Amino acid sequence: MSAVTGFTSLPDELSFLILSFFHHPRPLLNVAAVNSHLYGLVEDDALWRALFVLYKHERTPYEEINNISFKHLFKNRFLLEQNWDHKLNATVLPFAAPDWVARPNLSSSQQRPIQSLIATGGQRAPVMAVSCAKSQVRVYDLKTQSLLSLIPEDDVRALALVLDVERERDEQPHLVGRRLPAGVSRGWGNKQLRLITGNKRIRVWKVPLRKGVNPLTIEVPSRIRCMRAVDGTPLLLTGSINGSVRLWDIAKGELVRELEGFHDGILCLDALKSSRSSEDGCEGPVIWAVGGSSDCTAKIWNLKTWQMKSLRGHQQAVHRVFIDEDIVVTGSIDSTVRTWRLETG
Amino acid sequence: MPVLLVTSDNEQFRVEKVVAQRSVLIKNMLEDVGESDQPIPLPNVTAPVLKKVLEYCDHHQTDPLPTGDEPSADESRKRTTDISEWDQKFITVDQEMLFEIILAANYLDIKPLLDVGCKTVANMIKGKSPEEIRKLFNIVNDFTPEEEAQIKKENEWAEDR
Repeated sequence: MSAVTGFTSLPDELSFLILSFFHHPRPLLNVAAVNSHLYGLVEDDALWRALFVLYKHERTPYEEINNISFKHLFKNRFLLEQNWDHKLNATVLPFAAPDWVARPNLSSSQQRPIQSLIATGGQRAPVMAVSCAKSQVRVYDLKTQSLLSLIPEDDVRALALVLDVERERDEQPHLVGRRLPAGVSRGWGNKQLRLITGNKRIRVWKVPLRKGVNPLTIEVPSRIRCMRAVDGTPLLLTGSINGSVRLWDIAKGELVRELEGFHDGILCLDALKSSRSSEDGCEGPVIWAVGGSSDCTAKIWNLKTWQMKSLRGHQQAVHRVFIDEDIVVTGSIDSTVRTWRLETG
Repeated sequence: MPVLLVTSDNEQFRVEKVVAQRSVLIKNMLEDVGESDQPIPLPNVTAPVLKKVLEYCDHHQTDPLPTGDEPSADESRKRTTDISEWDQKFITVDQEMLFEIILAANYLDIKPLLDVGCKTVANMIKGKSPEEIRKLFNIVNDFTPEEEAQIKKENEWAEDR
């Protein structure tokens, strides 16, 4: 019996051409459900890339999108827009594109993941600091999208920014009262932007760097995994992989106190300078520090009275903590999030 | 000057050069052999199909030839699924002829005709369920019921709501 020419007698390249005329995922997915051969054809990411390009925006996607299939990407965007349309009946924005793509590791042929990053916005001088594994930390000026300083420090685990007074003063009034990104502080009246890097030692760099000016260096007993600058003060909290939390005065370059209590590595920290005075007679605002650890607990310290409260209940490591007026939130690998009242613990 | 084309079933077609040159394959062959009255063999095309294809070439003989293979032109031609009225009437044929035309257009390298054919098939598929597509093209379902259920679940995201 001689085969009748039909859809199944087309070579793959022609079936593929036919599929490329679909401008919606539905017919494509219906074809995929017909049989295993067509299922394989529709899996070809070139089809999804074309759909991605075609869908509502003219720009070609970035080459940076490695390791993620366009099918996956398209699906996410598609669902996002559908939900948006559906629930809000709002204007659908075109697929978002970054303002700028920085490549801190351009000179190396090896792909290195971004290890740590911190940024601050605002009108006058937005900056960003980035560290890649085994390469130097870079500070970028986000206004001009250019490199501001190359910090000669390798393999940095934790970063914090201290803004200079000038920078904040020129901010629009509504931005002055804003909560800064975690790890950024307004400092203590300093006149220059500072970047703090933490790993086997703490270093405080005045940015932009000047020749001959060495950073303030503080040696630490064990490797730092996370840190927070406390807004409005020269205080810096560091959490180390062996479970110690330390409070430093980076204006003087000395240890204020070691905060004891954890039995295993510190995974995260947060700090709050409360706008309220404490009720126990101490003057001035209270500063709270909170940390989460591999030992399944989180702990809160009052940095005025040095009282500590342990937050127990998580079954596994606490790897996210957050603090604001009256509340502490902890997130754990046990997939629960717990909220705690600040005053009672 | 007319050109002589010979089909797989040994039928001869005498056509104007300008018509035959709609096929990039023939155009290149003519350029290679130069001025010659040698017949051009087309072993992949049968007479009824070539007749139909030449009808298309004759109607479109004055169209501008597609220029090169720039990717931008490639993108833009896929953006539209519109088919002109004449083409639509032309391509209203039975399924076997439709796929024969697609294969011939691909072999003879007539991009606009290939597009018309593929768009037509795409339009036939559009709006049909997997089962309807199987029926339409006589395709055997080789999925197990479990696989089918799995795929249905996988593809739910594009459903209308």
